[in-house]
Amino acid sequence: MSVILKITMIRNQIFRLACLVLLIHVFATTSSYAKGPSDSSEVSVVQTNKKPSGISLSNLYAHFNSKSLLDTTPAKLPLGLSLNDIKVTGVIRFLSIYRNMDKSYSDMITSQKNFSFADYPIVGVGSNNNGGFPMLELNLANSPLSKFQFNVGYSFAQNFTGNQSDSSMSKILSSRQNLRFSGKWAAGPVRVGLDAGGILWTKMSRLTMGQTNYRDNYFDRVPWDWYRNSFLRYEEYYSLSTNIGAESAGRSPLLGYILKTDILPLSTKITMIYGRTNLNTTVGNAINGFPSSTFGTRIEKSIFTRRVAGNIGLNYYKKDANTNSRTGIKDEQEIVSLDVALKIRKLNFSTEFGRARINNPRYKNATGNAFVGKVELDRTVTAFPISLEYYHIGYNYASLDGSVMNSNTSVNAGGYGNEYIYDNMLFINVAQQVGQIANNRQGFSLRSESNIKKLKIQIGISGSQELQNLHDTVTFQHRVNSFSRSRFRPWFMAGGEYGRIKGVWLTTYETVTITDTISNYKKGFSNLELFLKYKFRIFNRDLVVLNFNTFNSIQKNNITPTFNDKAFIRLFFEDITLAYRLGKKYNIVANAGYETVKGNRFTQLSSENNEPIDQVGYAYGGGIDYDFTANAGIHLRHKWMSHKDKNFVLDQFKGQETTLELKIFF
Amino acid sequence: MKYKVGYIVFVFLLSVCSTSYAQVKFNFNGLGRAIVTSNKIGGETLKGDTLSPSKGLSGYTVFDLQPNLIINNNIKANVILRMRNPFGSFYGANTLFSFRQFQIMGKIGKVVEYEIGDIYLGGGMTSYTMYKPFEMNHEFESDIHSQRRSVAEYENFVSGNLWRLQGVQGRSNFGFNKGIKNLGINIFAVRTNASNEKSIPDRIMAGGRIGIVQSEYLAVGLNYVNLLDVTVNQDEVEYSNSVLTGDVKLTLNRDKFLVQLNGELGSSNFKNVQVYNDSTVQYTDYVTEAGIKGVYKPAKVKLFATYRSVGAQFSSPSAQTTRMNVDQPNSLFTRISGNAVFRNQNIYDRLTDEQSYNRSISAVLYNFLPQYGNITPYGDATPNRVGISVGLGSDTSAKIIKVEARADMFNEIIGEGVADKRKYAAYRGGLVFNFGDLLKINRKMSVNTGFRQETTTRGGNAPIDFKSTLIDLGATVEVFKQFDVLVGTKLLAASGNEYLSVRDQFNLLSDFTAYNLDLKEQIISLGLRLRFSERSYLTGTYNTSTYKEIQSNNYNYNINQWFFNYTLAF
Repeated sequence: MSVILKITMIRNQIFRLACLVLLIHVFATTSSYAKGPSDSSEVSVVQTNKKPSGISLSNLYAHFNSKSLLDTTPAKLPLGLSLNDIKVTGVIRFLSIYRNMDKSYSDMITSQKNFSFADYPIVGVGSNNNGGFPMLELNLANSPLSKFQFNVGYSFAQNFTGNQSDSSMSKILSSRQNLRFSGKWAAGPVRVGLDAGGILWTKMSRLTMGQTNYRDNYFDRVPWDWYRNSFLRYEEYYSLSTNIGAESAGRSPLLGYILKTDILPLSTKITMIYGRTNLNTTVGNAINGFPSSTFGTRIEKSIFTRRVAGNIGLNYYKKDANTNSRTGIKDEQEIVSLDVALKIRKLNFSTEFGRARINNPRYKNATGNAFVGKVELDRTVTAFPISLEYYHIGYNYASLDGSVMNSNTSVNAGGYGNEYIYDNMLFINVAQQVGQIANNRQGFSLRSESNIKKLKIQIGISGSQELQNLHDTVTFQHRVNSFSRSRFRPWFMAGGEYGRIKGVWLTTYETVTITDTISNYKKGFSNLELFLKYKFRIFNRDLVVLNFNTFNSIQKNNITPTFNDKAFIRLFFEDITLAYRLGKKYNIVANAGYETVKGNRFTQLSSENNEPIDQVGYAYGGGIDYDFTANAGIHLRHKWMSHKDKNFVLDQFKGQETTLELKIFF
Repeated sequence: MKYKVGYIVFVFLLSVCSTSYAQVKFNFNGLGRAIVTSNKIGGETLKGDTLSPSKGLSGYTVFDLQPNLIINNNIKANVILRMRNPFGSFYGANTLFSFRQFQIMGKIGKVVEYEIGDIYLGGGMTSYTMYKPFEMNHEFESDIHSQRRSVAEYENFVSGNLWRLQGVQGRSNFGFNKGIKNLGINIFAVRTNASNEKSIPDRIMAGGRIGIVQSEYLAVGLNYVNLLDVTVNQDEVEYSNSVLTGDVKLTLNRDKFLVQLNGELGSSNFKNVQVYNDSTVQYTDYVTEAGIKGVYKPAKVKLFATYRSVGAQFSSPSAQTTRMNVDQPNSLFTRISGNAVFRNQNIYDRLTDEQSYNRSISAVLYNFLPQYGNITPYGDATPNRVGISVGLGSDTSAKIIKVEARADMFNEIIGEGVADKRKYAAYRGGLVFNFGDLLKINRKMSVNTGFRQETTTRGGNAPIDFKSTLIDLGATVEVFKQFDVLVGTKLLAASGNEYLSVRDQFNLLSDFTAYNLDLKEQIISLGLRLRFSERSYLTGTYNTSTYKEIQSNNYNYNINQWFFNYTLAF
C-alpha cells in the first residue's frame, strides 16, 4: 500500500504542477489578448497535432490511417469537398389525387372517397412510399467529375396523414433511386468505367436485358415527366413521334455493378453486369440474403465501312438462383444471344438470335429459341418510311429482364413459386401493343407513317400466333383509365369483382378464361393502331390534337384482325387529346377516351345471364398546365371515368379523379 | 425518425452557417461503398442438411456523408450521416438512415485542444492502461486480407489500438526553456454505459496521461484510468476499477545507432460493492515492464528485449477488452446442424464479420478461443503472465523489406485451478518484400509471409498441451497500371487440450471448461483490384475457407465466397 500511496502523492504533485502551469498560461494568454503580443519567454504553446482541416480523429480519418503496410489504395487523407464541389439537383413533386367513386369494385383498397399524396394509395409498404415518387428528391453528386463520382439521392415523402405524434407513416425518408458510385480508369487505348450501387438502368439487348416499352397515355401525368415547358411535351408528341416512355425506357433496373470496357483499337466494348434486378426476388427475400443474382456480359463490336455501319453484339445473361437458401434446388434462366444492327445505305437492318435455358423444379434444362428481325426503309426509298419486324420466340425462351412478355408459368417475377396473383410479369396469351413481343409466339409488326400537310399519320399493324396452345386464358390491356384503374388494387393480379384484373405499374390488364373444350388450334393475335396528329392555330395560339385508335382481337388459327364474334376477344380503344396553348406559360388539355371489349361464347360466361364479357368504358377529362417559372409548373387534371359490363354486372365502376401536381426542378 | 429530423436540421444549420458567415468554412468528406457477397457453405457437416441455409447472396450500398463545420480554430464540428441500402432492396425499401458520428473539437485559449462526442482514446497511453489489443498476428497478412479486414474495421470504428468511445477529451502541450523540454497533458472522461435511473448506474471512465520530455535522453509519463459507477439510489452494484502506471524512457540517439531503455510500473485496484447484500470484493495487483531496444541505423536493424510481469488480478478493462467477441453469433451462416446450432467463429469470420467486434469496454474479461491466441489474448495486459520477449527486425525506415522475428516466453504467475502453472512459448515473425521498389519499376509488387506458433504446456494433475500455428502467405502484383492481382492464404493448425476460464461478475476465475481441439483451418483468396484513383477502388475476390476438426469431426465445413467491393472516399 505504501507504494500506492507514494504513487498517489507523486500523481497529486504532478497534477498540481500541471494545474499551476495551466493557470499561468491561461493568465498569460488572456493578458496577451488585452495588451497585445506577449514577450513571455517562459511559456510557449507547442503545436503538436497536424490534422487535415475539418477532420479530427474522425472515423474516416481513422479508416485512412489504419491500412496495412501493403495497402496503397486510398492511402491519402481525404481533403474534403467544398460546397462548390458538390452539385445539388433535384425535383420537388407535390402530388395530390382525390378520387370520388360513385360505384367501385368491392376489393378496392380505399374507400370510395380517397385522398392520396402518392402515385399509389398504399402508404408505408416497405419504407419507400409504395414505389411512388417522393415529394422531394434531393440529389448530391461531386462536380466536376473526376476519376470517381458519387451520386446519392435523398427521397422525402410527405403523406399528410395528420398524425403528428407518429410520423413513421406520415413522413418517409428513403433513397428511391440514387445510391450509386462510379469510377473511371484508362490505360492506353483501354478505357474502363464502373458503376456500382443502384439503381443502375441497364440494357444489353432486347432479348436479354431491357424491359418492355409501353405507349404513353397522353393525358395523365407520368411521375418522371421531365418537361419544364408543359406544352413542349405535346409539341414533341406531334413532331417527334416519340414516347416519353416508361421510367426504364427499355432498360432494366439493377442493383450491383456494371463494368464497361472500351478497347479502342478493336472498336469493341465489353459490358459486364452483376447484381440483382427488381425481378430477382421479393423484397422480403432480398434483405435476407436470398440466393438470387443476375449476371450478364455483352461484347459489342462496331463496324464502320464505306457502305455498312453498325454493330454486332454477343450477349450472355444468367439469372442464377435457388428456390430457397437450403436445399440447393435451382431456379435458373440462361440466355445466349447474338444481335446485329446494320445500316446499309438506306436500309436499316437489325436482328437478334437467342437461345435460352430454364432450370427449375418444373423444367429441367428446358431450352427455347428466339429470333427477332427488323428491316426499316427510310422515306427516300419508299414514299413513306416502313418498319417491318418478324419474331419467333419459343415458350421456354423466358427473359423477364428482357423485352419478351412472358407466358411461361414456371418463370416468375420474384423467383420460382411466387404466386401468380403477385406475379406482375406473367402475361399469358397477351394481346400486346404493336412492337411488343412475347414468347410462345411468332408474328410480325408493321409500322409506317406519313404526313398530309400538317396531319401526321402513324399506323401500326401486328399479327402473331401462339406456337403451342398451352393455356386456356387470354390477357388484354385496358387502355382507357389504365392508370386510374391500376390504383384500385395495385400490384394484385386477381383483382376486381371476378378476380380478372391485373393492376401493375401505371397499367391495367384483364385475363379471361377460354372455355372451348377443343384445343387443337392456335390462338392468333391481331392489333391495329392508328395515330393521327394535327397541329394548327386557333386565335393565334397552337392547338395540338392527338388521336389514337387501336383494335385488338384474339381468335383461332389466324392473325388477321377479326371484327365479328369469331374472336375470343375484341377490344377497340379510341382516345383523343387536345392541348391548347393559352399563353407562354399556360396550356389547357382535354381528353376523351372510349373502350369496348367483347368476348365470344367460348370465353367465360356470366353466371347472371350466360353471356360473355361486353364492356364499355369511358374517360373524359380536362386539365391545365401553368409553368410559373422556367423550372416549375402546376398541373391540374380532372377526369370522369366509367366502366360497365353488360353481362358481368358486378364489373362496373364510375367516378371522378382530380390530380394536382406541383413540380419544381432544381 | 429522430435521426432523419436531426439530419435535416443539421444540414440546414450548416447551410445557414456557411452562407451567413463568410469566415465559416464548411466542407464535406464521405465514403461510398457497394458490397456484394455470394456465399456458399458445404462439407461433411452440411451433408443431408436441408434445414440450415447453405447459400446466400447479400451485401449493401452505403454512403457516409461527413459535413465539417469549421467556425474557427476554437470550434469545429462534424457529423457522419449514413444512408444504407441492403443489396437487392429496390426503390428505397429498407433504406436505413443513421447518425453515425458526432464530434465537436477545437481549442480553448490556444492551449487546450478539446474533443467532445465520439472520440478516440489511447493515443500516447500505454498498453496497460488504454489500448485496444490486436487480435492475431496479422501485421504480415496479405494485401487481399488486410483490405478485406479494413471494411470490417471501418464499420467498427477501428483505428489501430485506439478505443472509440463517447465523451470528452482534452490535450495540451507546453514547451519549456528550462528544466524540462515539454509537458503534455491528456485527460478524458467518457460514459461506457448509461443509467436506467433505477438500478443500473452510469458507468464512467475517466483518466489521462501526463508526459514529460525532460530532454532527448529522458521522458517520463504517468497514466491513469478509472472506470467507475456513479451511484444511483437503488443501484445493486457499485463498481470501480482504477489503473495507475508510470513509465520512463531513456534514449541515446546517435548517428549510427539508437539505444532505448524503457520501463513501466503500475497497479490496478478493483472494487465491486454488492449493495443488496452489503458485501464488497476488492483486490489490487501490479504490472511491471522493462525493456531495451537498439537500432543500428546503417543496417536498418533493430533489436529489442522486454521483461513483463502482469499480476493475476491485474484488471485494466480499457487495455484488456478484446477486439473480437467470440460469443457473438456469426453473420454468415449463423446456424448449422439442422439450423439448430450456432456455428462457431472461425478464422474467416474473424477476418470478415462486421458484427464480431467489441465496441465497448467490458469490466469482465471476455471469452477467447485459444487457437487464435492463447499467450496474450488480452494483449500486453493479459493477466497472470511473467516472462520475456526478444526480437529483431528491420527499422521502420526500411522501404524495400520489412522483417521481424520475435519470441515470447511466459509463465503464469499463479496456477489456475491447480498449483501447476502454464508455460507459454510463442514464435512469430514475418516478411514483406517490395520487389517493385527494389527493381524501381514503379509498380506495386510485393510478397509477404507471416508466421506465429504458440505452445502452452502444464504438468501435474491437470496437464495441458496445446499448440497452434498460423501462417500467412500472399502477394500483390500490379500487372497493369493500377490494376493488381492479389493472392493470399491463411493456414491455421491447432491441436491439444486446454481449459477455458469462466469468470464471474468480479472478473475472478470461477470455473474451467475442458477444451480439446484438433483443428485445421485454411483461407485461400484470389482477387483482382482496380484502383481508379488513390481514393477509389474495385476489388473482386474469391475466397475459400475450410474448417476441419480432425479427430472429433464435429464440424467440418467449408465456406466459399465471392466478394465484390467498390469503395470511394473523398
